[in-house]
Amino acid sequence: LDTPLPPPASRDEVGRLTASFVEMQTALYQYIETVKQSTAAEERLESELRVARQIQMSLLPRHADLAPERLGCEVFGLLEPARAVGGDLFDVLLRRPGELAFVIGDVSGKGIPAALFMAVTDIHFEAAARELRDPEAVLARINDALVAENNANMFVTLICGVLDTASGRLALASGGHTRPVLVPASGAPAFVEGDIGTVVGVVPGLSFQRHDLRLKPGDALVLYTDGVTEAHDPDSRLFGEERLLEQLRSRPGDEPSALAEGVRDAVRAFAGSAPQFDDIAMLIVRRAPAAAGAAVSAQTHLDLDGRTDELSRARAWLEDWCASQGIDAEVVHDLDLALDEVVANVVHHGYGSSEGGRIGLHLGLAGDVVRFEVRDRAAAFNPLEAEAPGPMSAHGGGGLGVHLVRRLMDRVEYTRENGENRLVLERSRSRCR
Amino acid sequence: MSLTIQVRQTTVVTLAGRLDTSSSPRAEQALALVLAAAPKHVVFDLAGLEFISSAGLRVLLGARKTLSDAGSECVLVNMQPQIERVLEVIRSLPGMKIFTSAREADEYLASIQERVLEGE
Repeated sequence: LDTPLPPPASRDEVGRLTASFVEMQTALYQYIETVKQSTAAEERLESELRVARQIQMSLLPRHADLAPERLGCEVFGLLEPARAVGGDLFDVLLRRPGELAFVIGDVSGKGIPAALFMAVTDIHFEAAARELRDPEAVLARINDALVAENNANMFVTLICGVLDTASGRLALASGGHTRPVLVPASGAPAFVEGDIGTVVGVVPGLSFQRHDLRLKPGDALVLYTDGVTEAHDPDSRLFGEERLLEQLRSRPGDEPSALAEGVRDAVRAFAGSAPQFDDIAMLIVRRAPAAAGAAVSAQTHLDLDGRTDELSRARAWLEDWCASQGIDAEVVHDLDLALDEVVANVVHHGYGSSEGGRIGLHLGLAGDVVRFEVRDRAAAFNPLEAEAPGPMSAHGGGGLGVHLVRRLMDRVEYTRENGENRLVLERSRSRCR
Repeated sequence: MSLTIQVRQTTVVTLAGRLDTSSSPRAEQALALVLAAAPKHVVFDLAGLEFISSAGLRVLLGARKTLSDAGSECVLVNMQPQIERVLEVIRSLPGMKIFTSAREADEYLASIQERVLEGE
């Protein structure tokens, strides 16, 4: 346990695995410390579950792995176990530039057994999807692998997909999973036709049907587990497919994250006081809308230590990039200001006094819009909810900076995903006051 | 003679460069020395100020509060356009009228001068 691990040098499987192990190592250290101190069995179980949850969450793709500029399309995943851990999963694999394999799944049962089965399934997916081209072959491979070692009479429903991001060609194969929804850039959302297939992990030698379709720019494929459609309200009515379609219909043009969170919020609102019965997972894959997608012409990235004395380095990076893009002084000024405010916020409110936090900065140009993204792994903190500045907050309070950023940027958005705070700021490069 | 005495009571603080998260603590320390002398009128000359963020604004707001608590006044002059733009955003906030526009600042300075000339 004391063995230092090499820093995760790459984003491939080994890199992810190393990162996972680093997390596990850290988590286990904390766990051991906790166990030393606590004697009560209940406490021990609770901390075991907490560690299990951390390990499970570390199996999911990192936010950085899902960056659109890396994948060539927009992907957003969401996982909300009903208990501390759950049997739902999603995963995304960039097999080579322009070719994306993804999976969503729902293991029978809940809790720890389901979580273990989920982890095994995910590992088989990664191995199979690297080797095999077609999604139906990937499912068949996972099926045989699970059947061979499945002594617990568990099974999993899966959809595996392969997307060619340049052409939008999409191949899907389903192993008994809920039907995905295609949300077109224009027009009404509809369930994807095709054979639903048989659940995975029970019957040896199964073959699966393949369904081919094509995503046009801006089209989104919405995959979900039945925790969405089978959520029920206090009167035991189901959320159902119709409500799902309705939700998706009411959000034309929304980004994948907004779509997924919109549905999740609708499910929560519908369930009301009824306890969450089943795990909920969603995976949304969207082909970049034509205009923005074609125009993401320049981008740059910088990692900072979470300290304010890193700001001068960050500013030099930002100004260099702006100069290389010929961006007007006024826009550069506003981005400079946003940088100062946002990084100070993360350092003071996010990481606080804890050392070693990292801040990821990303700048990109999509058509006319400069997109500035700031990510950190501090505790969940939405700076946009900061107290409104006013006379009562003696010196303007923390809200002053947020107010400035809101007013000087054209769009600000906060999301919390996979243990990361993500703040997206957009500023038109041509708008001047 | 009263002219000379009164003019000395106007303390001019020149801020140049960047007033941001990194530099604000230093600015705050330097200003504390100025404020300790309990000046009656403080003019912040911002001609050389290229950048201000909320950290810098808080320093100015703090100085202004200290001064007004002591019955003194301060004013900002010679703002570059980008500083003016940031202050414009702040001015729209409730209770943040303190940063007067350049025109108001001129009027304010003129009124001091007049009082001075009248031998207040």
